[in-house]
Amino acid sequence: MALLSFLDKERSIAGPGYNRWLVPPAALSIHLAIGQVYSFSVFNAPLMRLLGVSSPASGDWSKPQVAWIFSIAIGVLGVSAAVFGKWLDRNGPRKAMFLAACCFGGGFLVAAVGVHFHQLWLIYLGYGGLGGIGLGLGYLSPVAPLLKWFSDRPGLATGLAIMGFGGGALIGAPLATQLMAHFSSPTSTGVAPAMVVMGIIYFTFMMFGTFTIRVVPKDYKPAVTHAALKPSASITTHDVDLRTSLRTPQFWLLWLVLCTNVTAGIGILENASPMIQEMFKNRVGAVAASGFVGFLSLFNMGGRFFWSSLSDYIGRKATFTLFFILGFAVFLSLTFTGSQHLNSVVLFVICSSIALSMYGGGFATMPAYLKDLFGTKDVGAIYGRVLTAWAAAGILGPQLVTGIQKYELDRGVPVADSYAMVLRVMAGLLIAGFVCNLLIRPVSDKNWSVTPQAQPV
Amino acid sequence: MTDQPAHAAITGRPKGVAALLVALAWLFVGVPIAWGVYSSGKRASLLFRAAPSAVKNDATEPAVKNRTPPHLAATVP
Repeated sequence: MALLSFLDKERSIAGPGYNRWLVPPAALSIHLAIGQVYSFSVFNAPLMRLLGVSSPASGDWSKPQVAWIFSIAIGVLGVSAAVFGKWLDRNGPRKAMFLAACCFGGGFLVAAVGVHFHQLWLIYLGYGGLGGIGLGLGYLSPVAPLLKWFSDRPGLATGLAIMGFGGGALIGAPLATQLMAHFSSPTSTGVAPAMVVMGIIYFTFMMFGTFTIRVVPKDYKPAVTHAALKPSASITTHDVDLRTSLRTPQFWLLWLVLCTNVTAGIGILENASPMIQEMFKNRVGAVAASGFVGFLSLFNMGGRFFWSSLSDYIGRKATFTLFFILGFAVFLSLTFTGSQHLNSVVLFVICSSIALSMYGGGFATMPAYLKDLFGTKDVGAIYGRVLTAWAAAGILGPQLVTGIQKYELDRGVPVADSYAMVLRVMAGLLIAGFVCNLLIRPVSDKNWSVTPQAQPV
Repeated sequence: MTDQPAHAAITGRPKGVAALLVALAWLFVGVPIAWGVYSSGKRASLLFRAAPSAVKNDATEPAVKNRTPPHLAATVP
């Protein structure tokens, strides 16, 4: 009972002199843990040969069956972020982080039981369902506190945390690989014990964030020692509540901005390995392609920090404008890098890396963009709703890529060339995002809540 | 809480201890990040390690090649 009351929002209000630089590590500990979801694919192959161990046997799960685990987790992430956003604002980040740790760590344990007894539905329920709720809660929980503690540098603050979500895969993949190698034997792939250990490690790691996070006191005003952006018409000093925000065109334009940016990024992310191998046949093999995927992960993570920090100086709208203009140029350039044209692997890698950095940058800059337009009061909940654009892009992106490529191949276009049309369509999507971003104007004062938020000193 | 400096000390503790706590917190999350970046960097280096021999092979071949995808190869004379 004492522990539960410790989780209350009132108990997590910072005391006088609390150092706000303890908040980003707390946020990072949550995002680094849940970012593991991006590396879940390392479990796919071992899960497909649980019975046969060295090779798939009859009764082993197929690739599409196993692929559903990740899809369910991401789908539940989107839904839980949208559903729990308002609850999180009411109950505070500490309770949300604790629940996220229980769900995410517990999800691993339930999934491990499913692996042990070869019950796929238990893995869907454990990692996909329970873990997915942990993902949604964990993703949102540090966003609002960070924006409130760092109202002078919101881009930097959210970039630091959301960078963790990109970086989680960099840790999750080698961790899972090494644990499975450690626990594997001639009769076991080592997936179940690896999942148990990972569940415990991630739960413990997330507890650090739970105990370190603090909520800003009501009268908190940061000394603007790091003020980068000067107050302007596009940065509101008022709050717009969740319900009202959903009725504004700004919300839906931002939804489309995120959706187009993510769809284009997923177009590369999902196909990185086959794309580079097919566009540079006989030059890039499977091993080098896996190196390319690792390279993209680094840029996905770095872009989250770089672009969102930059947005503190040039503004959120300008940052997204840059994403769309640069993105358009990069996606079109990619079509000329293949072996049929410039035949330049280096140029291909550079362009793809820039594109991926902007994919990550979009996620990291969005909370600060929302804060600029809607204030900090319900920003966590509003961000939760905007994240449904991610779920939509997660479905739209791969479907679009597969559909266009199939159409091209059916027309007799060579595989290597079939990616050109995909990339051109993605470039077109970025133009649509560019227009949506241009249309975004400050929220009308009739939508403001009555109580103005604290003004920066 | 008003006008709190960015690096304010935690109440009741000397400034050095507060800074140490912040440093430890960053170390706690920084070590796994560094390990992850190192591991991925090692994997990413495979891309560049594989490149030289591949470029050598390619230099002896015509720039335009492989216009036929593998799954269509059988149907093209």
